[in-house]
Amino acid sequence: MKHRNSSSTNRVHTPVLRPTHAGFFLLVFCSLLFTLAAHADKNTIGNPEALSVYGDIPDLGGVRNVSVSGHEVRALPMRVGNLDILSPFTSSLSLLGASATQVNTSYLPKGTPSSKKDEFFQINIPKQAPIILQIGNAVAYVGGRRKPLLAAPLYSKGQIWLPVFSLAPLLGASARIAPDGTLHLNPTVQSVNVFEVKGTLTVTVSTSAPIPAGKVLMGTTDSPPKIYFDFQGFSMGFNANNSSDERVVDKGKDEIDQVRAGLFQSFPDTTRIVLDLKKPMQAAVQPMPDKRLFALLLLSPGTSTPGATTISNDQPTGNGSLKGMTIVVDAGHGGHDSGAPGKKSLEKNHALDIAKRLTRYLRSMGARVLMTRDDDTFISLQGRVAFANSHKADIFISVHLNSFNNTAGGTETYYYTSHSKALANEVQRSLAAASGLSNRGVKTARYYVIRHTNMPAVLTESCFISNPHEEDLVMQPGYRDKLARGMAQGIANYVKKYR
Amino acid sequence: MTQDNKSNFRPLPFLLMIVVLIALAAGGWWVKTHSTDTLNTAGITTPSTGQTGIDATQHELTLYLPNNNAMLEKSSVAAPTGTASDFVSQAKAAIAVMQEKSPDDFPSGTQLLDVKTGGDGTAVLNFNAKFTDGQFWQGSARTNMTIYSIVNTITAISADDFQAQQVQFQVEGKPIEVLGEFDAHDPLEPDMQWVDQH
Repeated sequence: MKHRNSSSTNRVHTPVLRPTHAGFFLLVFCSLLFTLAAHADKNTIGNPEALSVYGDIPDLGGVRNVSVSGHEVRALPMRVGNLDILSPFTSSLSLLGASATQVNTSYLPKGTPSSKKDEFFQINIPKQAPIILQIGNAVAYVGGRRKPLLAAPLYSKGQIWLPVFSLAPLLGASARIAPDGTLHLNPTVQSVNVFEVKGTLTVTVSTSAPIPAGKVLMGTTDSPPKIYFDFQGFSMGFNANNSSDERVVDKGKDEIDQVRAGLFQSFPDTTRIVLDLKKPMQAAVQPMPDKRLFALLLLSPGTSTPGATTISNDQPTGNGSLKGMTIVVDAGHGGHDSGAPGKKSLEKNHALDIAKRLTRYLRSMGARVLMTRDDDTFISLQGRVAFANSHKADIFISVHLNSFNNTAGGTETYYYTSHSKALANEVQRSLAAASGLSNRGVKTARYYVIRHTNMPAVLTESCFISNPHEEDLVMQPGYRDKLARGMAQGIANYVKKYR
Repeated sequence: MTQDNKSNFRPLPFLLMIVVLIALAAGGWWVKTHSTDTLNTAGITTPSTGQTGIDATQHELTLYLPNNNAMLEKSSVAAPTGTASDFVSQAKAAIAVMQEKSPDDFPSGTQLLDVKTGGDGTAVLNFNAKFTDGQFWQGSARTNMTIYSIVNTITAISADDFQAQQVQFQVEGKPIEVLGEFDAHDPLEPDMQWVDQH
C-alpha cells in the first residue's frame, strides 16, 4: 500500500507528456521544418519561372570558366541547374562600365527591415538606375521595378557570386559560350544614330561600356564606297539577344545608303559597323567626352575638321618641300631573313613594297632618296647603318611590320636618339591616321639601325602582320600605298616644322 | 514495481524529443552553412581578386608578363616553395615561373643556365643557345615584350644580398649582340613604357 502510495505520488509529480505538450513539440518541430523549407526554397537560388523572361538558355553543362571582357575570372563557376552560371566577377565589373557598392538605403524595397540591409548591394551604371540585388534572392530591383533573375546572387568563400545570364541584359552585356567552354561576358555595341548637324552628316555609335583607347579600327573601300569600324572586344547589341547575325541597324540619310552591323570576329568578339555610301566620303573621328559614345563626321573629300582624326585618300601635301634632302629608306629584312610571317604573307615582301612606294612619294616631293635594298636581298644591320652614314643622309626611315599574336594590332613608330623624337612624332601621327588602325604611339627602343645611324632615324611598324585582319589589309596594294603616303606626309611635316 | 515502471514508460515524448533535437541540429548546421546574415558588405567595394593567398613564409615575386595587347601586366605570385631568399635563387625562380605561366613568350627550348651579379648592380642572365632563335625574335612587339618582361621582373626582385639595376643577357657565357633587330650588347635598365597602365 505504501509502495502503491509512493507510486501514486510519483505519478503526480513526474513530468509526463500530455496531449498539450505533444502538441507544443509538434508545433515547434513543424515550425522548424517550415522555416528550413522556406529558407531552402529561397536559397536553392534557381528560379525557373524567370525563363519566360530570358528565353532559351543554352546548355550550361559545358561551361568551364567565365571571362569578362577578355579577362578570365580565376574562380571556377557554379552552375545552377540549366538556369544560370554564378561567378564572382564583381572586381571585373569595371570592364563592363559598372561597379558594385554597398546599397544606398533609399533604394531598398519598401518594408525591408533594417536587419536585412546588409544582404543588399547595388551595381552602378552611369546615367542609369542602379541594379539592387539581395544575396539569396532571385530578384533584382531597377528603378523601383522588380526584375526576376534566373538565379540569386550568393555569398560564398568571401566573394559575391553573380548570375551571369541574368545580369547580362541588365548590364547591356552579351553572354555567349565559346566552343572551348568559356562563358564570355562582353560589353556590346548598343545602337547607331545618323543625323545632320549644320549640314554635316554625323554618325554616333553608343556602347554599353567605355571604349578603351585604340579599340576601334577603321577602314574604307572606294568600290563599292564604304567606311567601316571594328569595335574590338565588343559583342553585338542592338537587342540582338546574344545573336550574332548581321543586320541593317539604320536606314541611312543623304550620302549614307544604310548602316549595317555584324559580328566580324568571335571569341574574342569584334563588332563591325559598316556605312554603305552612295559615293566615296572622308571620315573624321570626333573626340567625345562620354567614352561610351563614338562619333564620326562624314565630309566631302578634301575637307578638314579641327580636333578630328581624318581618314582620307589625299596625296601627301608639300610637293617640292623636300628639295635638297637626302633620305635613306630602309626596307626591313630581305633574302633569307623573311621577317615576321603572317598566315598568308611575309613581312619582307610588304616592307619592300611599302618602301618602294614611299620612295616614289618622297622623290615626287623633291627629295634625293636612297634605298638600302630595292629587291629581295639580305643586308646586315651593320650594312644598313654604314650605308646611311656614308651617304650623310638627313633622314633615315626603316619600314617594318609588327608581330605578336593574332589579337594585338595597331601602328607604332620607334626612335632612339633624342634628335629623332620630333621626326618620330610626325611620322607616327600621319601614319596612324593613314592606317586607320589603333595608334600605339611613339616609343623608344634600342633597335640597331636607329641606334647607330648618325641622322634623325625612325623605325615604323605600320601594322601587325600577325593579326589576320591587319594582314588582310596590308595585302591590299591600295592599303600599302596609304601607309607609304602617311609616312611621306609625316616626313614632309617634320621637314616643314623642324628643318 | 516492475509493472509500475513499465506502465510509466511512454515512448512518444522521447521520440519527439529526439526528433526535435535532430531538427535543431540540422537547423543549426543549415544556418551555419547558408547564412547570409553575416555578410559584410564592405567586402563588396573591395572584392577579392580571386587570387590565392600567399603564404607568409614564401617570397613574393613581382612578374611582368605580356598581355594580349602586347603590353606588360604586373602581377604578384608566391615563389615556389623552398625558394631561398637570396637574389640568384629568386631570379631563377622568377624566370622558371614566367616560363611556366607564359611559355609562348620565350623561344622554344630556352633554359636559364646561370645568374651572376655584378658590383654595378648588373644581373647577368646566361641562357642556352635556344634563346637567340632568329625565328622567335620577329616584330618589335614580340621582341620588346620578351626582353622587358625579363628585365622588369628581374630588377623588381627584392632581396637582401643584391638589388639589380640592370640586366645583361648572355648566351652560353658570351655576350649577345642582337636579338632580332634589337641591340642587346649592353645591359638593359627596366622600362615602364611597356607596362599597361589600365
